Amino acid sequence: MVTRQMKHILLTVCVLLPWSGNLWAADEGHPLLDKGVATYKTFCAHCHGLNMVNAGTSSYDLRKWPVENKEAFYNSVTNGKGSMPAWGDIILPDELDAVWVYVASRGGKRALPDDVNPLDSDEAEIENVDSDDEDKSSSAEPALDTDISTQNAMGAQDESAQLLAAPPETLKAGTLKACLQRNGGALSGWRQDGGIGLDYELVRHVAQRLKLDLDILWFEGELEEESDPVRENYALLALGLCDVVAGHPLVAGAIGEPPTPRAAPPRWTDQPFDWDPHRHVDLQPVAHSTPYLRVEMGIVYNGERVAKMPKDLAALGSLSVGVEQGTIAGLLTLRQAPAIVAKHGQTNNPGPVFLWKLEQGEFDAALINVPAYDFHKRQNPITSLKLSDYRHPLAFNIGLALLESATSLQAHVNAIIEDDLKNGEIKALADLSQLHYALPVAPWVTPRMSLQQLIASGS
Amino acid sequence: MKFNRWLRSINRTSRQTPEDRTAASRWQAPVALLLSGAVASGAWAQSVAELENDAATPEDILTYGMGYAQQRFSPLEQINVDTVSQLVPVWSYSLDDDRGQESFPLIRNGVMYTTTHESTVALDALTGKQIWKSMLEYPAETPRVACCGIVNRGLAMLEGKLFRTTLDAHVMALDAQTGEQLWKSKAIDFRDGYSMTVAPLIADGVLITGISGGEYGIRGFIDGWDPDTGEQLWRRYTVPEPGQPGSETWKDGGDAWKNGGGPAWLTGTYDPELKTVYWGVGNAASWNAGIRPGDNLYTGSILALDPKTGDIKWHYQTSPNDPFDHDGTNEPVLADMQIDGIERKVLMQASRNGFFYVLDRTNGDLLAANQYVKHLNWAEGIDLETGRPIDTDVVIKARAGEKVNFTPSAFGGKNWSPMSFHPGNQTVFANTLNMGMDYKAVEPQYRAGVFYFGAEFGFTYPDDERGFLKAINPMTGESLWEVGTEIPRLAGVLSTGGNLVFTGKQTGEFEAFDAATGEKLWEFQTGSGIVGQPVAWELDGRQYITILNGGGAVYALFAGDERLANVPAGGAVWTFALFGS
Repeated sequence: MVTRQMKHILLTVCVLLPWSGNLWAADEGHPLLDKGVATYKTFCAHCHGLNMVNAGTSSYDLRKWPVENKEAFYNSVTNGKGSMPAWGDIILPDELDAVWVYVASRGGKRALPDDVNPLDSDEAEIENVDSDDEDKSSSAEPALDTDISTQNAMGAQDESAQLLAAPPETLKAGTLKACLQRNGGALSGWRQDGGIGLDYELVRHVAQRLKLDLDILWFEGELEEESDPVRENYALLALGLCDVVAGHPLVAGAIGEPPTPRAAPPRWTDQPFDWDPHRHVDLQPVAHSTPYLRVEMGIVYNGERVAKMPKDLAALGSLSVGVEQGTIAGLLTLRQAPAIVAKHGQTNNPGPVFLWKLEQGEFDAALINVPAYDFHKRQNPITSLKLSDYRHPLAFNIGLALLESATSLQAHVNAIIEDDLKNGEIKALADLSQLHYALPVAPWVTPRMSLQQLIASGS
Repeated sequence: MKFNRWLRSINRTSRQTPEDRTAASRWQAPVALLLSGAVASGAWAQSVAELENDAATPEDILTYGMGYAQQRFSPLEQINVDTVSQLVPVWSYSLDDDRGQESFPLIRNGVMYTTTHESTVALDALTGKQIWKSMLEYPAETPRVACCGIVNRGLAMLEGKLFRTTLDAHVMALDAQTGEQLWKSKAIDFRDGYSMTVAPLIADGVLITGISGGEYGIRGFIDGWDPDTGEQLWRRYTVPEPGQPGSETWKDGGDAWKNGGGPAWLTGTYDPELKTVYWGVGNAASWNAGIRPGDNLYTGSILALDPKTGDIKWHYQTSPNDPFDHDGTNEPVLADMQIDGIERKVLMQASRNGFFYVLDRTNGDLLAANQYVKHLNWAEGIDLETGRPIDTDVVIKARAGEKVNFTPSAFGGKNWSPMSFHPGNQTVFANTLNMGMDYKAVEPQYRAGVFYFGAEFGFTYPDDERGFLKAINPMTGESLWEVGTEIPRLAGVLSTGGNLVFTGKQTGEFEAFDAATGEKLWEFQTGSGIVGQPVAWELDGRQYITILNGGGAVYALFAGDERLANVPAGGAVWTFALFGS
């Protein structure tokens, strides 16, 4: 029994979900992160603050810990330092590893540099020897069957030409300011020397082609229930923090008039210390660029345990299946795979830990968005996980978000993206980011769907 | 040197300039050496009677809370609503410590005594000069078991001895003249999650202390000690073992009582006439109430104890089977009050749970219990017949393991920061909190010496201010006035005969308000956050106000309020008086 109201909520949630942190979650997750969170709460929170948020005046602000200095961290925790007590006699080695993951990933908000990953252990390597090659051969690249020129969102060609005749207008002349999520999984991640992921490569490329300097503002996509990524993007733009926000989902409700009159931006790097996190700003209508990527869902399976690549959702009927809780992939698994999956499937929270459980054999296969797999593979180069050729028909386009009023910039950006989609430049950037790439497909913006339509999609 | 310093301390009654006193001490030293025995005994003929009379003697402060009733009221009126604008600092003394400073200063014969977590100091009360400083050491691992700040709340005093507790769960006595340790007794092994921050209480000649560690799966207790020898006289466990009275309220049938909590981490009050000590008992452990069915006596309760034996005369439980860390430990302030035309001996507590309780302290009968905070969703009210809270869905669901948002948060409607009772207008002044908490009980894992929460939680904040200094009518819970702040105040409150209310902010401002209206009349930036306890005293006809500053402790550590990032740590003692007076 679903009331109208509930349907509305479900619908909204469903349509937004593919883009929320839940679906291809963020750098947030390292397999040890959950344990790190718990260990931190048990051992550290009473001096260093819940979630490491701390004024830093009477105890060390752990968010400032130099991540390259793992050894000193282990030493301080084990032996104490200054007024910091020693924990060596009481904290277990795996707890120390876990809390390091928590601290070094800034609470899961950014990727661990490879050399500080405590999971670079012998165990992991032995288990996963040479499982690497096959997936390249099995990676699928659906053909582009859409004529991009027909999808010009700008409408009249002459208007566009007029805009293109003048240089692009940006917040700061000569500079493209781009907002990127520092924990954006396979699409964007902050690095000491710049960034990583397709979103990062794309904005660099666009700035270069526009002959603009690039100024990146890194923000943190929170995975808390209260945070709403669509509203946060609107707020970043409304505040004038950037010209474009990368990685924006082109779905109804995330484009055009603001979903609410006011919203608060996410936390960003170099945010003023006295910034009130609850400060709301008046939102403005948001437009999108021509999309540069399509996010699809595919079946990931454990190659050590499953001999034959699952060709479709029906093939899941004979496997032990993991189900992402609260995501479209999870919903489709429950509703479109054989009934036995809904009965015996193991429901798990989404996020990187989900695929780590698959890695560890807790289940054998799952439907999941492809960038989540790419991210897992980037974080765990030695993996027994493989991506099946199968792709679910339901997919979403990703573009840059910008203010509706930024028509000049939009025209310039669109021209570049359209050009580079055709000449394969964007595919090359995706390859550089080790993404399974799929070209955007029309219509650019996925319309609202009812729950029934969603469940029926592609079946 | 020692005698020079000591001489200065006993010369306080004569009117001298600081230069005079320095000179005097220099030439008097040899004389003092000869006379020391005799003079010392005269100077320290301080007795139980003086303690009992403390509230009526504004020239000294001998007990925590400015009198056994802990009213934190001074009749002094030189500094008043008209003159407070001329209030200026007369000295500041660095505590050389960057932890939160919550200590209560004692004053006797012109010498001020106070503490940090690692030191005890004696200061010339008129100049702030250090007379002696006595460091203490505790094992470096000790802070592991301090849930909410590395603090110490002060001293007790009797017959030339000072008494304090230590973070590693010891009780000790120092010679008030020299700071030398006289004895030190271990209450319990801190490694099992026990710690001590409490200022001790001397009642009927017995030294009484309570234990901390409610978040570490301890079994709480209150101890009585012999002040002369440090010998333990009695121990009253706040959680009974099977077979003892109260054990019937632990219905899990297992071992929940062994780690059942019930810390007693704030100093109790004492009624010398009734020979009764009143002491608040903190939260049950773990927070997961579902696994310890029953009322879980004597957690979340106020106990009336016989100081000689520790026997429980009566108890009143504010938060039965509490899942929310709604400690009953807040200070039970004593007063005599006209209620319905009858003079009643009452006990007042602004409970962490958001209700303001007024009890008849002769028998524990409930006289009033009203909400004093803005937001409270865990109970409909308190049933005046049974004295029990009327539970809402929120607490019922929380016990059942469902995720809830509850108010007030585990910080409480008021945290430890002690309130003041103005007997003249029968009003309470208190720093209250306005926060909520997302909460879900989970299966706790006991491991000695680490947190034993049994819950996932995070603070939630209202749209309005996170804290309010309130003038509260104790019988109705209503606010006569309130002054909100974005960053809540966690300092103690003092009210005076000058119709002033003193308190401080975590951003460093020491403040004075008009007790009648709440209008802020004066403030002074002390340079570090204030979470200490203001006191008023008088010497040679001049009134002084003293406060310790030094930000830190529970809110700063736990709430992660980054707006405090530009408030430096670093404790000091600040003393103020009227300019030129």
